[in-house]
Amino acid sequence: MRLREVMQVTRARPILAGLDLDVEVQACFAADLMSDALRYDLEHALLISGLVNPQVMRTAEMADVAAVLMARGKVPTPESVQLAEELGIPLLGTDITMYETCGRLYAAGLPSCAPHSSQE
Amino acid sequence: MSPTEVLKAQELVYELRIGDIMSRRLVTVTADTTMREVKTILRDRRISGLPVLDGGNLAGIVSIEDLIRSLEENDLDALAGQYMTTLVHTIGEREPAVRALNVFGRLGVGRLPVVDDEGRLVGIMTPDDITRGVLRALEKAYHEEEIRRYRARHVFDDIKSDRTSLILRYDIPLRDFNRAGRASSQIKQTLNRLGVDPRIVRRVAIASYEAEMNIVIHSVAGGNLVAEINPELIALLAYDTGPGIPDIEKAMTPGYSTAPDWIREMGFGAGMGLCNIKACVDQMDLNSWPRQGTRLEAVIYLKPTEGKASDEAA
Repeated sequence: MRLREVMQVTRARPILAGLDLDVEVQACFAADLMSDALRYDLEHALLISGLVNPQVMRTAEMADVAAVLMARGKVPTPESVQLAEELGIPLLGTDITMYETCGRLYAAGLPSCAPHSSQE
Repeated sequence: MSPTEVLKAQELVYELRIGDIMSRRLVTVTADTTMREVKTILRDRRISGLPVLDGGNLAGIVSIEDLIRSLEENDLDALAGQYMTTLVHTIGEREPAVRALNVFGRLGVGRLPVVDDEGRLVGIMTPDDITRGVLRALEKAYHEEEIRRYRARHVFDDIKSDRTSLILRYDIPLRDFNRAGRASSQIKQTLNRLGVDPRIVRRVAIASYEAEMNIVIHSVAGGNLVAEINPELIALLAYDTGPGIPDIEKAMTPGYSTAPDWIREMGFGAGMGLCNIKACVDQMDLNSWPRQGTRLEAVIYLKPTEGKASDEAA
């Protein structure tokens, strides 16, 4: 699913200007605790979170996440936005709750991330 | 062009100075040059306009359009001073390229005389010069990055020893949630630059980040993170000076955490950190002494044949 469609489905807006809306997300994971997310294979995934500090972007960086979506109207700190810009990771925001955001995306066909498989 | 390259091009339009991209091979005429001579110069030099100087100062521009007017009037013996356009916009050589882009767009002129701080004519530029300048700068940036990557990839071939390692050492401050993760970020960038398989880079990055965050969250005075890279493996070492883990077996249980609520508000304390490290590395060794500190060592092999332990770890 392209970022453009993610934004339509979740009524999201870009928090960082100059987004490439054709970025492809292949799966999705939602968490407020970052180590819960890092248990899963997040490559090319959309990470939904309510965590506003820069660690959400650090997590995205380490795991090669394709884009980050802030749910329930959470506003990322300026440090987070700056880090997103430095890392070139698209950062979106929606006012919808995390539960509903996930539900909409799942219904639209975006699958859940799988746990890390045994290493290739 | 990829989106990053487009952004880079936009950035360059702001970074590049007019002086860097203008044409310095100035062909000028004076106000008493005849239009017949102007015609010859425009034809021979294959250019479309000429600055007209009067006592060294820019007096105007005579262009093909002006030449056509003089041809229509059958007036080729007239002087350039009569046919030139006198109301000439100039641009400073130290202004950014984007300024020229704006002027070209607004005025619809085909060329702009470039002047220095004293107003002396130093060059001329056309919209083509901007395109050429940006392309040249993009190519240079691309080339420099390629060379840097090439050099990094061959660092282990160039240095001769029985065992060569690259060692990255980081000081990890306590509870700085704005800067935390910087060390792991730099380790990841280094491995990418060295040309390590992205899947392995990701495993190292996650293990290193979890280890780094453990120091940020749980240590009493911060700690250290060390990454040793050699052609066979990457070894991570994370150590601090306390408080130590009372029960390592318990700490390794998925979901077990001693982190207080405020740490969870910062996005950590899921009780998955050590499990995630174990899942990402080929070998892990965790030792802890109460009140003295914790020492975590982990190894990730770069060559799949040596990473047999990985199946058990995951």
